[in-house]
Amino acid sequence: MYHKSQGYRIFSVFNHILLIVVALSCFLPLLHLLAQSFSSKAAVNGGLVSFWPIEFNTDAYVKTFNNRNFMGSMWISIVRTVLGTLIGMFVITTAGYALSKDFRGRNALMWIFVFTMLFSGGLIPSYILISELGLKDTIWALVLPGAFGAYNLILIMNFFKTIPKALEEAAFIDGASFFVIFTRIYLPLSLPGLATIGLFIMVGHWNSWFDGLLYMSTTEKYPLASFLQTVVVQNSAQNVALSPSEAAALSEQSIKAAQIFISTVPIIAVYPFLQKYFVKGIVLGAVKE
Amino acid sequence: MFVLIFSYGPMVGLVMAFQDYKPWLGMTGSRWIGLDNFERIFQYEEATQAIVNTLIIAVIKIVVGIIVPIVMAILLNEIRLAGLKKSIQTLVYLPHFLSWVTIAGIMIDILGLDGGINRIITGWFGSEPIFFLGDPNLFRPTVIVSDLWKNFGFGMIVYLATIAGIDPSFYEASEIDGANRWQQIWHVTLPSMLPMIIVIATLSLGGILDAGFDQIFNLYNPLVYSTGDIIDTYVYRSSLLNGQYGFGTAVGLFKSGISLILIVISYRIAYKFANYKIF
Amino acid sequence: MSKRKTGAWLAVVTMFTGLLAGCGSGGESETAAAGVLKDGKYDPPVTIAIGKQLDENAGKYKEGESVDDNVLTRWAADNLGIRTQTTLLGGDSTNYNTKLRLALTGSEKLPDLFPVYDTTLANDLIESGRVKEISADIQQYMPERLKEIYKQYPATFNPVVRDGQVYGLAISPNLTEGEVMLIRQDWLDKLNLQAPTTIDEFETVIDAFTNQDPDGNGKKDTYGFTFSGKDGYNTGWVSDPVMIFSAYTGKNIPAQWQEQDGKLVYGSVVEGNKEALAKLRDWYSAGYLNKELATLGAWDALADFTEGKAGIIVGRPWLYDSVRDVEKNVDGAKIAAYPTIQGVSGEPTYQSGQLNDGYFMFNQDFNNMEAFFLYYDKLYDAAFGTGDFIYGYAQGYDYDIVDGKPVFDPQKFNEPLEAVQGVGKMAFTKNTPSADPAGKSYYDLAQGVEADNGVLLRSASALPTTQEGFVISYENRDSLLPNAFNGPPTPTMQTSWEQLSTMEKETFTKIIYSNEPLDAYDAFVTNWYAKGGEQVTQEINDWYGQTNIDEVMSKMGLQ
Repeated sequence: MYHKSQGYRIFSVFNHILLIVVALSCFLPLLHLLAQSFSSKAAVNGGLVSFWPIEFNTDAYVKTFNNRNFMGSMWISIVRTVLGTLIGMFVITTAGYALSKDFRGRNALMWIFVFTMLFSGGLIPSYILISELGLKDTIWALVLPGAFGAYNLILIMNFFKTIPKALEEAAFIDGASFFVIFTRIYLPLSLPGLATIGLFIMVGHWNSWFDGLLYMSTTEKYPLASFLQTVVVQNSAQNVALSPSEAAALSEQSIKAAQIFISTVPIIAVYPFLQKYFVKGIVLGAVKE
Repeated sequence: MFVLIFSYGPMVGLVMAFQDYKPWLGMTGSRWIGLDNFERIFQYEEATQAIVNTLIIAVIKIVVGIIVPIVMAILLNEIRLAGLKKSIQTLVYLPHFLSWVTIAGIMIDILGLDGGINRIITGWFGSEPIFFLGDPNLFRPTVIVSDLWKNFGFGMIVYLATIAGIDPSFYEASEIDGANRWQQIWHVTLPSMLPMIIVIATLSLGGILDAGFDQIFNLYNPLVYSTGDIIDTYVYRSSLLNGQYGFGTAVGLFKSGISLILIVISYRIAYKFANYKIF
Repeated sequence: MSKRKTGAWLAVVTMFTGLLAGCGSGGESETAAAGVLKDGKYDPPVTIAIGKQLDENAGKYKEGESVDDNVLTRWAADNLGIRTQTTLLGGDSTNYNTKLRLALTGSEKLPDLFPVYDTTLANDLIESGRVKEISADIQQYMPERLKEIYKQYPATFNPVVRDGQVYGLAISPNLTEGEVMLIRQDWLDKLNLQAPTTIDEFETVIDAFTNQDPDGNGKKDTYGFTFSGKDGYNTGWVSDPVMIFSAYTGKNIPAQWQEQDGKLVYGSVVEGNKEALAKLRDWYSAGYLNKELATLGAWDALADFTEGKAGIIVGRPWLYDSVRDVEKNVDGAKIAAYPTIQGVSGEPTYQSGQLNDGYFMFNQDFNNMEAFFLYYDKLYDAAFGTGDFIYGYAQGYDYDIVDGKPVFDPQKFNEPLEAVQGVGKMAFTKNTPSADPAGKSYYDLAQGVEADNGVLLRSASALPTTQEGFVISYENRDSLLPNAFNGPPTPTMQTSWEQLSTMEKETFTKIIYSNEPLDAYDAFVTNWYAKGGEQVTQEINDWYGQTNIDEVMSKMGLQ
């Protein structure tokens, strides 16, 4: 057996070390933020905090969780992400299923979709469109325009393509409809693919901030990413006559760190649930050829 | 429907590229200026330099951005301990969620002349500290490596999903044929991943001229304009003063045009030589 | 399916027409004007639609309050009969500008009253013909005490005047406080040095701070002077090296236009810059300066001072509040504020002065300027310490009365707050109106004036070092030079300014880092003129000559 050989063992050791080192390097910045968020303001500003909190306290978190706007925005982000992912997945999987078949005009249609990936009219027309459709200030302005992502469509289509034709043909012979084939065969068999695309869409929704700022005209309707954008991004105080107390507030690095950290938690929390689909072990070969 | 309304509807806006667009005059009222906006892209040597920089940075990013996640996915797949595998998988995808503003702040710290990396360099090797962000020759590698570090974990997910979808009977069959692990990877894993690799590679060509505005904007400085300035940062600085939508649209159209050509070419190549239809 | 399709096509067509029509829509809807002003109050109340860029209040409103419903808006509704409603809200300044520009497409109505922070946008708005000409309104409705303020700052009208017509007014013009030098006093004392007042003394001090181990830890880990070079060499607020340039160039400071013999000249290309760069280069090589200054933005360059590595930093007086953590983190650390050094000619050094942040502009259909000025004047009550706002705007928000005494430290409020609420910004202004040029109140306090109104009391509650800084700032207010060019970018600027200023930053920085010889500066000047600087100078002087502000000022009754 291969994993008994000497060469493979040596490789395995190096492999483990390499991956662990890489993984740690990816984790350190977040740890740094976490340490900052639990440290006192003076220590953070003094550059004393590296990976362990100094003068440990939870003020930043207390303040953040007591901030009604932060929590409100978080809720909007959650709604938006759930809604956006569901709609997005529905649109893309159905379209992907149809397009994974050959039919007249399929190629032309496909190119039309690809074209949207590359060309866009830009800000002004998109904005006018959303206003004219009356979507401004509604959650739909955040959910609908991005529901159809050509990139994800192509990915999911390719996952569908790997499913053996024989399966579908067999099902047809048994008298199954397209709908049954789609829900009973295609979707379950491409779970890793679905998990991937779902994650992409989810992350996209969770992180996007620009549309929130653009289409919402009250702060209460900002999703979390937009809220953070306005709060976390350094206010340039160049033109402002600041009072001393306001100046001191400019350097609240620990609160910013806490907010960034909290905002990444939900998405990180979801990941392990999806992760199991990426781990090998799903038996695809129901029909052995 | 979605496509028609939300993607093609706004595309009428592309006419702005040929206009001296004034919002209050609308697209019928604004003055037509033909290709003037496009000429402006190539007018200055700084602009040409920015285009060259963009191409270099973006091409290398795309190449390593495709290879590394594949390699990492395969390597990670070799780890048997499920718990460790999962943890590594979770950790490497974390940086994707931090914005470039945050990461740039940390990088300026770590890569600084007396930052962590230089302490290692001077301490272990006794050489002079290296000014990663201030040396024109090192700026591009720094940008590329940090981009890779931020995004490979996320890119890896697609490949992991692909590997997970490989029919285990292929492996069983090859094992019976006496293949060792290396041969299995070479003859089973990679070929099974190939279609997805081609797809991702092709699609990433769409971003050939996106060298990463957020990243560069937060990291660059006057010392490295010569190698670090890209189209997007250049345009950002030039249009800060005038807010001309026509010019911005022209640059976007120019980028899209090049991307479209590249995608068509690679689609053809994939079809012709690998007989694989990407979409 | 077919039904949905038709609907979609309809939508597309609608938006097409919307696009093509450009403007046109947006017109006559109700601008509430029915209210009658009686005893200082509108009855029934009037509503003013406003545009607003989010400020630092965002996310800090008290429970139950928001942009449109907070302590100030309620006060105005109850006492003035004026409601404000935000119809256009932007996040940061870029986003706000974008939204305002989008509103110009006619997809929605312009608010009745909105701030504009960008001269190009102001220019576009005026050109579009959709903003109101207000010279008669100013003359008729602006209260006297506000007229007195605007009279002091005629130059602020430059960007909003076209052909003798006035299309807006500066948002609470006031000379912003100048920058001071913050020095580690404990280091000076330890090395037996005096605070520097000239370039030579400055050099001595930064040399000592670098080479004589001022923190006494036996390691050579400190240096003299930290500043930012990432975005040019005249930041105007913190981490600014501009005094070194001004020491050699006088009033012509980098990246700014200054009048000289009746003509405007650009500060980065005049004589003296080369000497300043030579100095900075030598200092950089000697290790006196922040080694990474080219990669650090203004706020990032503070870090070395706060961490106790750098001994001198220049910034607005409140900078002390942002860097004083070093006094907590490092034993014995003590910061003191000093005036910036003198130039080589013995003159003071000059720095960038700031008069206003943006302009109010009005929808051309807005017809209640009287209400606007009534409200605006009330907001100034806090600045003058009069009316309802003697100590501040709202008890428990930006001040509180504890044991019968006004208190300004939010932690000492009856209900302690994390930070004071900027009530003055909660309606339509982004900055709280101020009539305290360059920190005059601090100076008055230092002269022994009794603190009897909110402004003085608030100043008196600042930290001692901060107060000293403000006093220094006021005493040196003559060294504050506003940029003489504040109009919209000229045609050549639009096409070439980016190249010119990139070249400037690159050349300056590379000389300081010794990546290029000092003579590269001469080549830069030649290039600057050749690549468009010549034309830009011409255009800017044409602009300067064309506006007759005096005439407009007297038309508005501001003479």
